[in-house]
Amino acid sequence: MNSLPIDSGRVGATPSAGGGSGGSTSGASSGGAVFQALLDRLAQSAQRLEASEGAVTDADSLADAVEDARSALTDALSLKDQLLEAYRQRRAQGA
Amino acid sequence: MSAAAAQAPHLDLSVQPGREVRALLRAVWGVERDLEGEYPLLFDDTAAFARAPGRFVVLRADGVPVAACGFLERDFVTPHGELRLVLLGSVSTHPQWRGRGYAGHVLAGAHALAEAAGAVATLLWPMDAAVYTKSGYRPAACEWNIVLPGDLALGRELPTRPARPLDVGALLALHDAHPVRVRRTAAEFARLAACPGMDMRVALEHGRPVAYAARGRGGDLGTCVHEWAGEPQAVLGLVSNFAREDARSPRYLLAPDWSHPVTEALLDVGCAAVTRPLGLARLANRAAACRWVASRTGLAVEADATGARVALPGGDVRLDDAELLTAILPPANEGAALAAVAARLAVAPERLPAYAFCFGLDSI
Repeated sequence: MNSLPIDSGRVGATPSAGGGSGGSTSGASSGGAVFQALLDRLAQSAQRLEASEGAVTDADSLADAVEDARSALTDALSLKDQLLEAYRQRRAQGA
Repeated sequence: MSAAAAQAPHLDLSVQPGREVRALLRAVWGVERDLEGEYPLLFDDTAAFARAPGRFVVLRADGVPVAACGFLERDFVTPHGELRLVLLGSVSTHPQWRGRGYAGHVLAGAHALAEAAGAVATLLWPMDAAVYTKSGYRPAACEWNIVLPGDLALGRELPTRPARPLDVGALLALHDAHPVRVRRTAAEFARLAACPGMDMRVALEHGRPVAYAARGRGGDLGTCVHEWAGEPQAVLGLVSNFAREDARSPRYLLAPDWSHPVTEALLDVGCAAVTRPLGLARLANRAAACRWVASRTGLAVEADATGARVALPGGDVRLDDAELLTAILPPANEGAALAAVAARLAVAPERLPAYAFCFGLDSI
């Protein structure tokens, strides 16, 4: 076992030439799962925004709600970029 | 708002066992939510309260609990020593008393308590990050999420069965082999392993547990294998079984940012992965943080009223609390934020982080 952090270059790793011991994964199926995971996270972000509606009862909570909306939008924009990247990878892999 | 809430109430902040806030938590989370089952260490009435790691910071209005925050002291085992952090969770304000900043009161109280306990930072997993970033919390520490394809077939297929209470000693021994984890006693492990909604499985060889893995906890982590330990090929066999159960629902492995044969094997076969912050944190005990950075770097680091002073050959360098937190618990262990602090201290970035991590069972 390496007594080191995981190599950060392995984020979004693609299959190695030899595969693993008995492994049967493919980059395409993994990429599809990431794609689905990002979609799930976008949906959760939207649900969170919806949940904050109706909770605004005064000026303080209005400010909080605006901040919540801004945060959710920032999350969504970040997720959008990841989603597009996952989509490109999926297309490149022919999935 | 009730008539009582309309008047200025007498407020009192105190530290209480979980049983004192059961009614409040039911009012906030509903009777169907089993917080005591999901987070048993917050409600540990079996230990003497003075020694129990879990408790609640409670705000009472005219003697009635109106807001509370779960508080759990934990020692994070890292490759570079143990780091005490306080986990905060189940922050709750009674619906009739919202909009008054009471949650902020209990959070501030919990943070002060963490500082007094010598914790380097408070760590939490918010439902809404914006509320906490306004209070100085920021993304901290780092975890890996490795996607498990629905056709994963790694490791050894051993006989498996659900974990049993009598397995706890063996499973704790397997868990304690992780170089990066949260320290647990056997009693704590037993209570955590009994969380509702969790599917914990054991792989057996010659009738003895050699590995285990768990998915789900309460209503959370249903698609995540959030706890695993043991002989790597046996762990991979368990993880592969979880992965193949439902191809429509991709599953993920939660892992520390520290190399392990299980994570390396998954990455070797091309499993996609992302890194993300473990949670939100805020520096608590500045002196403890300075001691940690001094220990990691060999530099003279002293706390002062607003941050830390680091003695360097070219002159002192000052770090504020946010920079101290970044040095110890960066949201990415190779990120720009860490590199900036490392450059100021003239040390290699990898000389700073604690690489602290907790598996899913430890979160609150």
